[in-house]
Amino acid sequence: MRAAKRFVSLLMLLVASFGAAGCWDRTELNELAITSATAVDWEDGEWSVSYQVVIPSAISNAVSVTGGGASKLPIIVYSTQGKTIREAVGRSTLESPRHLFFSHTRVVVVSEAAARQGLSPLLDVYFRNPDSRETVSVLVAKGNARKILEQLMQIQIIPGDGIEETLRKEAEEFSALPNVRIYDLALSIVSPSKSAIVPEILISGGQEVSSADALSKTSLSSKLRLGRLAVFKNDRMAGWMTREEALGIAFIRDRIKTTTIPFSCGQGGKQKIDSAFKLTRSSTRLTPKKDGDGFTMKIEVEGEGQLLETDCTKELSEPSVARQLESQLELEITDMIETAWQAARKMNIDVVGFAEAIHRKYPKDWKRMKNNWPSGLAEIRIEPSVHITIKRMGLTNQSFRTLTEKD
Amino acid sequence: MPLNPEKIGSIQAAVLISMAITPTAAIVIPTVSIGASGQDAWLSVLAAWPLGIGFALLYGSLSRMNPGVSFFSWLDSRLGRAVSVIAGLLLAQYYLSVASVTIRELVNFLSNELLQKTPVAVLSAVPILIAVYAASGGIEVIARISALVYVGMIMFLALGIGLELNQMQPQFLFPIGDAPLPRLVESGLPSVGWLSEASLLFILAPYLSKPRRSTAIAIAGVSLAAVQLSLIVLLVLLQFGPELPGIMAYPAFAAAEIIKYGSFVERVDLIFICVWVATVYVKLCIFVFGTVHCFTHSLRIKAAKPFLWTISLLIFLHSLYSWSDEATFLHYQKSVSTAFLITCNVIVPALLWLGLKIKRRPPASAGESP
Repeated sequence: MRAAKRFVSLLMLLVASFGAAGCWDRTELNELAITSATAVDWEDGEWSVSYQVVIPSAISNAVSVTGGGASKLPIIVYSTQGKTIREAVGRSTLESPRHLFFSHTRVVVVSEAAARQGLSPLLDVYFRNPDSRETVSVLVAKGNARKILEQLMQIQIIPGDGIEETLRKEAEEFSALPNVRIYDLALSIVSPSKSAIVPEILISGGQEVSSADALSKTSLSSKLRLGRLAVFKNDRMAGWMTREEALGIAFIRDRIKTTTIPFSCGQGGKQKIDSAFKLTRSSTRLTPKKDGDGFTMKIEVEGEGQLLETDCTKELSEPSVARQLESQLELEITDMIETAWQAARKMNIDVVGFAEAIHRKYPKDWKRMKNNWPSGLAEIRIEPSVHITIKRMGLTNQSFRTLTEKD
Repeated sequence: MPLNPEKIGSIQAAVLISMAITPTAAIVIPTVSIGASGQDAWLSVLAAWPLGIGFALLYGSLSRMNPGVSFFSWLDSRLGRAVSVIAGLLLAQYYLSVASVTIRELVNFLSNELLQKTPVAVLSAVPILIAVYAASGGIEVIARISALVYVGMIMFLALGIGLELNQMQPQFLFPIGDAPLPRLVESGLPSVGWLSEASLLFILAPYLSKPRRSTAIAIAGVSLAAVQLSLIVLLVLLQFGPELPGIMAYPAFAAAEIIKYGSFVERVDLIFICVWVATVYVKLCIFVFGTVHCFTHSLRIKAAKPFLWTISLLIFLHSLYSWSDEATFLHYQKSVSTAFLITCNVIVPALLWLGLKIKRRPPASAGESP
């Protein structure tokens, strides 16, 4: 009896272990099409979604691809169309034997036409579906977004990965264009300012590099490059800002990590740009101040860094010279802020985030103002004040020109 | 079911109370509270804390009157058999309902986030089988496992906070006090409902190694849960601001989903999901045990094991068929659940307390020993 009981228990354990061995959601790696980048276009009243799918077997031969022009490329790009984004994705089964797997997508490139159509459907897809991650970086392309996915990169094997790395490095080391992830975009759109900024990606140069042959040269005929800043009002794209204006916006929004600022060491008027400064730390404080019926926005920037380059003949070890250079830099940054503010005011879009500052400090006034925002933006005056400290002058205390111009 | 001669320590009991509250509350409260009062949601959760302590005082005062027998034997001796049976069946129904809600919450989460093709029946059956096994071991076994899982949960919560620091934007919490009072009340009510689950103390009382500490245990359990819930709401607010969490089904996990350090630390949300699933299993074990305990003790059933299986089957079916779809379940969680929790955990105990105050007589010496 006891033996029988043991046998039944063992049998049950065995049966249970069969059930535990797998589940309905198992996925075999060789059934997946892993996407590294996605592009979204709006064509003839339909969404066109393109996928940059990684070919794992080709990645292991990547050295020969980049070096010797092997026939197998590491990615393949294809597109599907539909009335909704997910319908388009669903149609991928009509032409691909593998199930699209979006968890490793690094970037999503949206065409200008799609961005002007509105990004709410795209955001909904990302927040609703567990296979799409909100950490994907967003970019806008002026023309066809699919073309961006077709472009190969020389150093990075997988272009999607390369674009994200470029964005990340730019945001860290130059800071003009932010690395906007899906959730950043959603947060900006639903914030009191109801606006967002997204970097542009473009193909600069001539013929596209989309074949192994084109890739096997030391100088490519074209390459992927980050460009301007796309500005969104609610979820729709409303216009572009230049990279200089973008840097001013980054100063106002306190998004500068590190950047390089060219400036002139001479005072007054239009002087030749002869020096460069690396801003290694920067912080901005926005303080709204009631000014009659309207508001004045105090923009206080504090930063420090080091001199990277100069062609100036002044004695750099003199504290008075350092102060003068600092004030030149302060003027330069103030100018950037003013330019960016004028651009935002002209577009009548609160990309500078003044709404959040007013909401935080004057919540009652904001309740009154928010229905008319951003039309009240134009009435705001700004008061920028910049304080820069040059912490280090570098390894020489005079420029080389002082030696060459010595009599 | 006679009480086993098992005892649980005060810390174990406080942890059990906290574990009866947080696993499901952590899922629902950020969405509901932030949806109602935006950046002030954390204040509404904190405001629910004193109310929770008020409940703890009520539960503590009732439990301290218990001379160490099961809650229902004691009610029988003080208020009569009818009251004991009615209260027992009512509480059994409460525990059964919360157990099935817990399973449904877990299954919905797993179906939405991870296992979309696995049948709901399979996803429900696995935790219920584990809960049956744990409940058959008794409350002491559950308390020990609960303490272990709790330590893990705290460690991972701290890790989560550390990893999410770079995404936090303190300005999302301002302006403070922007939400009007009615919105704050609406936002805080779910927390009040969940904190009332500290009524678990009634069941734990006869097993406590130091029954005199009942009130302190309930206060500690409620406080642990309130602090955790406030922290989770704050974490979500600091990362997603006051607008987005209201439309998210699982904002606490979405916060873990966006953890990213370069390309070497990312997609760590699965770790947090595993820890949360473990806490849900503990909650389920507690409530399966509670259902069987209330049912068998109020009806003086000696052989509890067959009922453990039958009641578990009932919980399984209840969780499967009570809500036809997710929308119905969400509606239940948002609109019905709080009222149900407050009825079973506050109104019923308050009525019993009143009854006991009115009918003052010395407690009968029940022969049952824990």
